Amino acid sequence: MAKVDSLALENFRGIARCELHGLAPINLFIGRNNSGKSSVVEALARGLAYVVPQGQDVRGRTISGVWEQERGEPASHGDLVRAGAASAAVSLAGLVAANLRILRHGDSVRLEPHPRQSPDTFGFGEYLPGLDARDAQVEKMLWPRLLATREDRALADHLTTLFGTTVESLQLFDGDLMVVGKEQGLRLRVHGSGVRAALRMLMTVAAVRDGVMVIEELEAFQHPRSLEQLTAIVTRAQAERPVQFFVTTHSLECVRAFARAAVEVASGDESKSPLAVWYLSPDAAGVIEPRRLTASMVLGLDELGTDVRCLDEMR
Amino acid sequence: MKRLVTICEGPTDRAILEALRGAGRLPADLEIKEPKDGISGAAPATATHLEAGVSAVVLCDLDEHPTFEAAASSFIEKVLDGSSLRTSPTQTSTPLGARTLRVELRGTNGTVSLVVAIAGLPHDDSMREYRLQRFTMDDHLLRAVRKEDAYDAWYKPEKSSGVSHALVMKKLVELRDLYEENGIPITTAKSYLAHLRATVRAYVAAPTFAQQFTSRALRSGCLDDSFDALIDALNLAVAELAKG
Repeated sequence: MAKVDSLALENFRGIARCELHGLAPINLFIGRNNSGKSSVVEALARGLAYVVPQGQDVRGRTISGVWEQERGEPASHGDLVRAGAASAAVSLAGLVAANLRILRHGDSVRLEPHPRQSPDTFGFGEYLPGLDARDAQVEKMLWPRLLATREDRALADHLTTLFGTTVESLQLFDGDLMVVGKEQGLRLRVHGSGVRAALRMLMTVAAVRDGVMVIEELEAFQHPRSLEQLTAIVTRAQAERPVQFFVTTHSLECVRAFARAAVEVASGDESKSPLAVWYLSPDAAGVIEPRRLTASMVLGLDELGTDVRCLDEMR
Repeated sequence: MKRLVTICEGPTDRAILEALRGAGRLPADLEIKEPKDGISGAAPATATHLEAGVSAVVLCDLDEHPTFEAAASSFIEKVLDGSSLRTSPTQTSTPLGARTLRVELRGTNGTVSLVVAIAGLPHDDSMREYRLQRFTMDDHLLRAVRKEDAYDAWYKPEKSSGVSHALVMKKLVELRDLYEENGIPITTAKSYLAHLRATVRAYVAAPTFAQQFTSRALRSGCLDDSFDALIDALNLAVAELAKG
């Protein structure tokens, strides 16, 4: 199974130093704005890109292509290396090992693939920012593949579960995905952001068969109830295939829902829980000593009304 | 402003602490938590916070322990039992004042502090007549109720022609004797306070009574020193944790 066990960053973007040991099948990153959540997942993706230089995500994008698309321009040295530092470093360990040193972006890397693992078998699955709910390219690129494996049926069922309206089928007509109910069919693009975001996310989750999937702000556009179902579906998907998830969130409902889903999947055995919640809080020098919370810790804190997103406000 | 987590054993303790905090006798940033499972939930709830890297102050009852230190140590053992937290081999628990114990614990999310403060008035001469055998937060409340103007500050808003303080205090002692003669001695302040509420027909739950009594007595400036030992212990704990 594809698995990154640990990730270490040095002078990467705004982070002076950060080490995450004991990465889980599902990793949820929480913390204030500018606490380093997005930098950590970008470092992970860029590290994997050097392990699999020709690797593409499920939409056929290279890693640098993904970030270029996200930012609207190629990353510069200044974008990736902390101000005042000469270089940045990213180290991954697990079934795939890599030590990436960014001296000047794109021109000096050192690769050390793990001897037991062919780099070809480990791919970068997908980077999915919340705003992809507006990107109709998702269904255009993924639908034929999903139809071939009859994922369309499961996706229709998921939509019914998420939104309480019976969806009988999903069909692609002239590049438009139709959501077909009992009495009418509606093009996905005329649905609200919640339905579009959920379906496009689930299509992407269904298309990623192995590797790593990064989802930024999974809660985007979701009501807490649909969010709960969505996290349960993602958690079950992880249990069924070798995909490691890295998810950032600002939503307490999202953290709670993942914790509940993880406890359910683990059937009460903490050691089988697929979830680690990482609380990031950099000090003034940009050093992050992440706190690793288990699902039961999250639920225990939540039960007492302690907001896990604000642990640095506690002494 | 950083907040400090304070975990107490039940709703009455919480009500009193909130009233004291509201009157400025405890720090405003004291975040008071009450476990759903009451006393049995206090140790796991404390362990969860400590494991998440959050230091905590816990208010426990002395109950039947022989000393404050024994009660605090017993609670610390319960926190360690079943958690991944460990004491440093070179570190022992440190007494802070008479009824407070501090210990440093190591967990997966770093070193954290636990301060345990103990409630109860086992050595108070004015409480001897009640022949208490288990000592809890309610001891402090019962002691405060013994002061007439504090009782009046609470009771008069409820009943303009109610049971006088002298009468209710007398009835409590008579009830003690009556129960004892029948082989069911009253041994806790909680029971005395329940009888007090019944005697004056104040049909409110124990935490509501605790909150109403404490805040009204505080507002009227009639609360005596019954809670002072506890307030000092908690303020000392907060000051210690603020030092890091």
